[in-house]
Amino acid sequence: MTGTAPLLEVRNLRKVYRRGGLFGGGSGGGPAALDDVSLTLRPEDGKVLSIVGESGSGKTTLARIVLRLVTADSGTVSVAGEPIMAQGGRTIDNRALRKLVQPIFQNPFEAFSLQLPVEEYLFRTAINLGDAAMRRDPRPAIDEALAAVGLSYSRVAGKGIRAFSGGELQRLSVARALIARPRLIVADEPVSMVDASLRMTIVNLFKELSQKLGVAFVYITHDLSTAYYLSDVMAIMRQGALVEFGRPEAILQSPSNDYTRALLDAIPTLDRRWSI
Amino acid sequence: MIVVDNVVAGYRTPAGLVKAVDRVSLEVRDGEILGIAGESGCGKTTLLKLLYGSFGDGLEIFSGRVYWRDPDGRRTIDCADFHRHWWEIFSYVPQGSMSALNPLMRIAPQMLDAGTGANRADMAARRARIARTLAELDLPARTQRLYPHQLSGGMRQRVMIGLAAYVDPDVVLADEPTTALDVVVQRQILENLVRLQRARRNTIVIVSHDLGLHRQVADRVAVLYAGRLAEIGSNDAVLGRPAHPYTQGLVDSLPRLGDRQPRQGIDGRPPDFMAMPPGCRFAPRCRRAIAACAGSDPDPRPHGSDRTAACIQLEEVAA
Repeated sequence: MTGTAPLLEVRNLRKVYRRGGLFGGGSGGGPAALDDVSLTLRPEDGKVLSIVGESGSGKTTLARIVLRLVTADSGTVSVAGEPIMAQGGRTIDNRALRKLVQPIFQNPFEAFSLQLPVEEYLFRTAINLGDAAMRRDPRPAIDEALAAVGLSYSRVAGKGIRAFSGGELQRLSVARALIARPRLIVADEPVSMVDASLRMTIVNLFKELSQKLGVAFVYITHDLSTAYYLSDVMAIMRQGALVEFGRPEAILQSPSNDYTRALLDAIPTLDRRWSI
Repeated sequence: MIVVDNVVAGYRTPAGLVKAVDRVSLEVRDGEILGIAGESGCGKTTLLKLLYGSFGDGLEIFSGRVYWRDPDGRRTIDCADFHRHWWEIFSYVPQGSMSALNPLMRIAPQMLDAGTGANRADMAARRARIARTLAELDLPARTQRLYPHQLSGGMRQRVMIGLAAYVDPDVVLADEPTTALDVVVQRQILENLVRLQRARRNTIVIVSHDLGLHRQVADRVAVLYAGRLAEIGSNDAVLGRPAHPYTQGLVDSLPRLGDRQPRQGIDGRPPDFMAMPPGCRFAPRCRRAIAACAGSDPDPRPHGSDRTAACIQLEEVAA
């Protein structure tokens, strides 16, 4: 691991979900969810990579492969210079992987159990992924992570998810991820279940953490506006392929693809009204 | 026109009354598209149910009145009787309704099934109207013969809008009609909806949390907060020059393409209906709140020619 290694490097990733089962009609392959996708986030380009696409674009499959929740058919993935997957096979064990890459999921109400106090997740992460000192006494690391997202242990202690709003739960998800001190956090649609008034507080938190703590983010979203606001590098996907990759300003000014233009035109912004 | 006159409405729960709509007055004007905005849990869907006269889930009007008046002003119908005029005067596209189609029936028979109580026009004429409506919504003719699972989400949502519109109601009420759809499909459906409205000259009320959507399609916009009406007025006034601090906060929190200036959300969350703060309900989250706000829960008052807003210190801010 060197300081100049790419924060994330994805090479020639392919994934086809096999059809099968009761009505699937045998084992024939469907369309490729990912069709030879390669991309790199270098430290000099910035810390936040957005992957924008609509349903069926393959953005979530890409996120899940980087988190190794889904196995690719072929291709390689490295995080901070460390290969985590090559030719569909794992190259490091799960504990090492989770210390490098942490997930944040779309629906915070489903990411935590209804039956467990939320602090359980913080302690388990510290005990499973922390170093010897953190395992002996997890509290300092938990306090630090909660402070980084604007929460405190006294606000959280003993409470279940019903005591929190969606925005607060998403902050907790971020705090839990930070406890592992990962190099990369992959957030899949992290604000689509959060009210519009609170979205920016979460998005701003990602920005702040990437700058203060140096952790890199992959921000998966269907929403070009927040992606533009947040990201240093932006990728646009469609039907399993990368159709656009570069700095957000450059993509906005001169989209190289018809689909990108259609996407840009379809965003209902407050600045201009469509002529219908 | 539908008139909502100082209405308090909501639900009885073991813990007490939940007034999801509290002292709200507004008009839905004939031939307009009215957008209803606000965060989740602010009373948007409850208000829409009042406009539809849908009381099946325990919704009650505790005081005030909701009624419909025909354009000539000769006939009024109280909302307790709206259900007798469903499909004829009112039709409703509920939230998540693209999952409401019967999976075992082809599209045309499902559409024919709708509104049989009110609209007994002969079958041939109704079939022709179904065909015309589906065409207006950019759906291919063969859609009629397909089952719901053979349609994409966008096509199913168009069928639901067609279902609500083909019987030619005066008012179509749509709850988050495009929330589950991709933006490119959303734009097509919103354009369909606006064209359909212009052709039929009916009234549409759209509930959505998405201010950008309202900016594109609405003639007027109402913003609800914690069951109260914060601001209502023309699209340009409310979304272009918001006067209520809540609307300003919502508008400010939306990132714009091409603009990376730091933007802030509104801290906190809407209050619990069981524990409303004294005075203005938005005051605890309001950046402009002053001491007097805790002692005053104002009704909307006119501000300029094309809006009313409920705040003791109104000030327009260019969005």
